[in-house]
Parts: sequence; structure tokens; C-alpha cells
Amino acid sequence: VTAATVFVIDDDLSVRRSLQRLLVSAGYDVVLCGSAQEFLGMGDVVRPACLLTDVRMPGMTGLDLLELLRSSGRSLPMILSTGHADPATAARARAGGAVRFLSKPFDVDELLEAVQQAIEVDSGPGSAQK
Amino acid sequence: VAVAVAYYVGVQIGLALTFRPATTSVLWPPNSLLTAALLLVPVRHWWVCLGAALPVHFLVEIGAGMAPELVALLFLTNCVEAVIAAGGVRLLSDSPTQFDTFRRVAAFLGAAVLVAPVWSSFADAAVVHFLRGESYWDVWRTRTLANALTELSVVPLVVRGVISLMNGVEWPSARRLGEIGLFAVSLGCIAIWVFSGPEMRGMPPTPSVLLLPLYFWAAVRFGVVAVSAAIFATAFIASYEAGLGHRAFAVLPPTESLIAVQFYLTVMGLPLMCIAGLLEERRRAAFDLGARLRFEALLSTISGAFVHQPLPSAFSDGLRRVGEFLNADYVGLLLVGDSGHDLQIEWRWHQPSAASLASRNCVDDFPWAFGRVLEGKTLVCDSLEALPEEAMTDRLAFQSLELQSAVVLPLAAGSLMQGALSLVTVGIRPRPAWELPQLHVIAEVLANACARRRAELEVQRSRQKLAHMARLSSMGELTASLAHQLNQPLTGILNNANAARRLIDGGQATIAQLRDIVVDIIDDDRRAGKVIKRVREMLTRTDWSPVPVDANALVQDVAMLIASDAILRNVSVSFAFAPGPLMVTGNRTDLEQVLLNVVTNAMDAVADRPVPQRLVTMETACDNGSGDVLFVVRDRGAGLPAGSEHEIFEPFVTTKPGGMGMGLAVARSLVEDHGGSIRAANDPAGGAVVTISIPAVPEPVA
Repeated sequence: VTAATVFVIDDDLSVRRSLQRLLVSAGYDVVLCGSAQEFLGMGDVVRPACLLTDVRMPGMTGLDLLELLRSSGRSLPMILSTGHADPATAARARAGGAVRFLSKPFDVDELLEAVQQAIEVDSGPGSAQK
Repeated sequence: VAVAVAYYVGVQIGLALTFRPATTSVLWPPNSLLTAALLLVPVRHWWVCLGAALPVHFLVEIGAGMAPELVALLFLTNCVEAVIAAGGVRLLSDSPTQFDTFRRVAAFLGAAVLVAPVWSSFADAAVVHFLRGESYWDVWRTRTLANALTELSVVPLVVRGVISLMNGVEWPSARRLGEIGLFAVSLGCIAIWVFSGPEMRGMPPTPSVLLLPLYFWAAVRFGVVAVSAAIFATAFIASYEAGLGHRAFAVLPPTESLIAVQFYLTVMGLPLMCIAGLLEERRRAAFDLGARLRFEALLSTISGAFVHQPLPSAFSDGLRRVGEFLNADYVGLLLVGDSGHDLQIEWRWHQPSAASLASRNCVDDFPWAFGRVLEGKTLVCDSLEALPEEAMTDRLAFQSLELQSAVVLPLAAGSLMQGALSLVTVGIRPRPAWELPQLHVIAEVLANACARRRAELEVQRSRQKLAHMARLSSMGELTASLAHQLNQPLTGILNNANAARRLIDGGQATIAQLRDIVVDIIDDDRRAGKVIKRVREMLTRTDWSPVPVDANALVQDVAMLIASDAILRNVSVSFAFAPGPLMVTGNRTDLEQVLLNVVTNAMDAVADRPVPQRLVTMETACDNGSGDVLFVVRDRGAGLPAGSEHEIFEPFVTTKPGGMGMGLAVARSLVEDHGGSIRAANDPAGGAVVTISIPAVPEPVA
């Protein structure tokens, strides 16, 4: 059985590394990206997979990425996280179809539950196979 | 008793100068002495003076062999003369015992020298004519002239002499004494020579005119009393010489010659004394004017200082000048505290003689006095008796501090009590002439300055509060950025800790793995700590304690604060640092605030530009001309609306929707606190340039 892959996008190295440790310990494959552009340059993605991205990043933000993927039809379940959760951002995330919107710092159970939910969405019957 | 003795002496002189067989004397001091006594004592005590003179009069004149009824009637006419003279002077003069203005001299001359002798002599002459059979008009003429001359020459001398004896008088300077001595000797010599009847070839028959320059000397240099004394001395010498048979006017018989002298002296004395009175009045007016001018100069210096100097030095300088001007030993200025019910010493000045006062708290020493001053009352205390029994503490302090006199005035601007001014002299010194009206004017100037200082302190306080508020609000604007900066390490820490727990729980943890995790946790924790420290530095309201600050380090600090915000807004902020340490003196937090406000504005200005044009630069530089340190912030935004280069620094002027318009106003006020300036202009290349210039710390001379 191939393990599900979680793509972690965050401009902060320390956050990326800590997420990697946590998700690996939960049995996921983890791919780290320092920016949205780096992720976009990766080409095809092995499914099932999900995306865990920070909202606030230089260049392309998490929300921009969400909207870009959605408009280009490359839908991948996404979990957004931010340190400063304001209602406008949360509403935009929901409208863009994000699975979850997490406030940093988040609890491990909350995170794993969100990741699991996202993977289920990606491997579920309705999900488009690439 | 004094009156009786004086009358006795006067009668003796008068009798000694009487020429037998005439009843009437040439110089008759008793009446004038009575006049002087009546001028000196209140009207209700006149009967005592007249009563004291009565037995002496009888004793002496009956002893001289006169008939009792003649003596009685003569006493009556003498009393009438004195009463008319003293009553008239009291009626006409504004100060009957002074002869130092034209009006006072004229009143005296009119009532005592002209009216009283003339009218009383009618009665006197009648008495002598009927009882002794002497020629009525001869007696009248002799007595009128003798009494007029005596009133003229004796009364001012006696009245002023008695008053000086009672009040004490300052000794004149040695030079003045020398002049007085020279005058007296000259007068004596010339008078004796003139009246001893010199007969010289080519000399006009009236050598007495030689005395005229001396009288002018007296009138110009010594005043009314001196003229009267000079005339008295002359009359005495003339009478004495006449008694020896000498004649001043050789063409006349001896008695007629003497009467001519009397006439001559009286007529000359009248205008001379008027002139002397006028001169004294003018001299005093000139002196008063001089004193007033000096006071005006003092006032304008003090109030000028409050305009041109920093207030603390203007206050201490002002107190010194007031102290020196009024010859005080100690001057203190107290201000009302915030509660409005207590006074605290704010400034003081003292002579070395009053050093013991400088360490005392006069509010504790004189609770009663300062309590009254707080009620708006002025307190003048020249002796212990000025303090009532209930002011025990004040009385003890007044005695133990050996105060000579103290004045405390309330300082009130409008109806608001500002504080108090206290002036003190210590030790044994001539009593200072506190000029209360002048002190009140000084108090008013100081009160206004106190009110101004209070207002300035309030402005300063509210400006600090405003700066603090503005700092809080700009922190609010940075909240998103700060939350992000804090949450990144916190997220890392929590994730790492959770990962470690899961590894341990799963039993698969290796020491190397755990060590890596712990290292990351430590790093993240440090990172979070740094953010907190920076925020706290910004929010802590530190008081103005100027320290040397490096301009480049300052810009780097601000760069760190805005870095995350700039990323979020996709603004590229670039920096250019001048070589060096560029040192300025100031409050680091305030200067950081200034730069933060300006650079935040610059980032706002480029917010609606396409991303590649969202450019802001911060530069440090050194002004070649002035050596000032410059901070230059450029943006590539839309620039300033034409003509708004100054306006944007006013409070509540903003070009941003939702902006408060406080950022640049606060920046300007903080820059000006540092003695610097801030200006804005449009960059020819597009956008706006804000230049902040702060005076540099002078380089230490090697």
C-alpha cells in the first residue's frame, strides 16, 4: 500500500521541519516546499495526497494558490493555516473549497484529523483521478 | 516737661536779646517752640503743651520784674499766635510736620510766618501799649518781625529735629559731613564779619548781601530745614553783635539797624524756603522716577527672560534679580501641588548670609503663614508680634531662624492659585523697605510665568501620551505581522514537541532524533523571545533619557520590525547605509517610532501599485553642510498632492482612507523634541521623499 502524501508549503524552515516530523510519525509521506511557486514547479502529484499550506507567504500566498489550483482544475484537498486568522481570510478559504482552516499554533490531533479528512476526500469515490 | 524746658530756654534767649527799655524782643523763640510742639502733638493734647508752658512763662517773666497782668496777657497772645500758626499749617498742609514740598513750605510760611505773627501782634501791641505806654505801632512792628523771623527759622528746625531724634536718622556720608561743616564755618565767619559792622573803603553800605550766596547754597544742597537753620544762626549772630553795639547797617541807629536785619532775613527767607521746597520736591521726584525706572527695568528683564529663556533658568534668574533689587537675603518660589492644597518649594535664591534657610522647608516651618497665603492673603511680618498667638510653630521658627522680616505673597493668575513668593531678611540689618505694590507687580509676572509653565508641562505630558497612543495604534496596525512572527516559532515548537512525544510513545525514538527536535525547539523559542522583546521595547514608555544612538543600527532595527509586514504587502524595501557609525543623541524608542511611522506611510503609498513598482528605500546620510544625520525614506507611490508638503505633518490630516492622520504629526513632534526637522517633497523620479534630519553628536576631539 502506497502511503498518502502530504505536501507542506511554508516559508518558515522550522515550521516545515516540525510538520515533517509530526506527519512522518503519523505514517504519511511528506514533501516540503518553501513557497507556492516551488510546489507548482513539481509537476504531477502521486495520489492520494493533500496540501497543507501557510496563508501568509512572500510571493504567492496560500489563498492565491488555492484559487489558482481551483481555477486551473487541478483540485487537491487543501488545509490552510495562519497565525492571524481574520474572518475575511477564513471566508475566502471556505469559498475556495479548503477542507480545513487551522489557526497556528495548532494541536496535533486537530492537524492529523484534518489531514486524514483531506486524504479521505482525495481517495474517496468522487475524487477525480489524475 | 520737654515743652516746659524748651519754653524756658526760649524765653531766656528771647530776654537776652531784648533791648531795654522795650518789652518786645528781637528774636523771640518761645512762641515758635510752642508752634512746633503743637505741630508735633495731636490736637487733643494741645492743652497739655500750653499748660506746661504757663508756669515757666510766669516764673521767668515775673522773675524779670514784669507786672503779673502784663505777663498773663502776653502769655495769652503768645498762645493765640501758636494756635493760629499750628492750626493754619494743619489746615493747609497735607503733612504738617514735613517741609519738603512746595505746598508744605507755602502752607507753613503762609500760616505760621505771615498770618499768625501779624494778627497776634495786634493784641500784643495793644496790651503793651495800654499797660506800659509804649508806642503801639513800634511794638506791633517789632513783635511781628521778630516772631515772623523766629517762626521761619525755628519751627522747621525743631520739628524735624525732634522727629529725627525719635525715629533715628542715618548718618550722612563723610563727604556730605565735610560739606555741611564747610558751610557752617563759612556762614559763621561771614555772618560775624558782616554784622560786626565792617567799614571799608569802596564797600557798599549793605554787606549783608554777602550772605545771599550762602543761603542759596543751603537751599540748593541741603533743603528747607537748612535754610531755616542758616537764617536762625544769622539772626542770632546779628542780635548778638547788635548787643555788642555793632551795626550791620551803619547808616541806621542800632535798633533800627537790627529791625532792618530782621526784615531783610524774613523777606529773603520766604522765597528761599519756597525754592528749597520746590527743589526737594523735584529731587525726590527725580529719585522716585529713577527708582521706578530701575524697577521697570527689573520687570522687563524678568518678563523678557520668561519669553527668551528656558523656564527653569528664567525662574532662578528672576528670583536672584528680585532678591538683589529688594535687598533680601532669601527669595523662594513655591508652587501649588496637583491637589491644589499644598505648596512645594520649586526655586530659591539666597545670599551666603541665609545659607541656613536654603536647607529648610519653609512650608513646614510656617504652616500658619502659608495656610493664609493659600487663601490668597499677603503676609507682611516685620516682627514676632505680626504673628498671632495661635501660630505657635510659625513664631518659634521666626525666632529660632533669627528672621528680621518676611513677606509672603500669593501668586494667582486669574482666579487660579499658582503658588507663593517669599522674601526674607535675616540677622541684624537695617530694616528693608519692602515695596509692597512693587512686590505685587513682581508676583503677578511670576504668577503668569507659573501658569505658563504649568500649561507647558501639561502640553508635554499630553504629547507624550499622544506619542504613546500613536505607538499603540501603529502596533495595532502591525498586529497581523507580529502575530505571524510569533506564531511561526510557536507552531514549530508545538509541532516538534508533539512529534517527539509520538516518537517516544511509539517506542521508536532515537537519541539523535530527539536531540535534533530539542535543538529546533530551542531555536524557535529564542526567535519568539526576540519578537516579544522588540514589542515590549516599543510599547514601554520610557522617559526622555537621551543616549547616543547609531543611525544605521536604528534603521536596521526598524527593518526587522517591518520585514514581515513588507513581505505580506509585497513591498520591496531596500536600504542604503552611509559609512560609519552615524551617532545622534536621543531616545531610541522615539526615533524608532518616527522611522516606523514614516516607512509605514511609504508602504501604504505604494500599496495600490503593481507589485514590481512597490518600492520603498530607506537611506542614512550625513549632511555635508550642517553635519546633521539624515534619514531619507523614498517611495514610488503617487507622490504628495501639490502644496501639501507642510500640511501632511498637521494632526488629523490624512490621505489614506480610514487613516487617523496622526502618524506624521507624531513623527514631527518627536523629531522636534530631538532638535531636528522633518520635511516631505515629491521625488522628480516619481513618488515622495521624506527627509528627517537630527543634529549629530559632535565627534570627540582627539
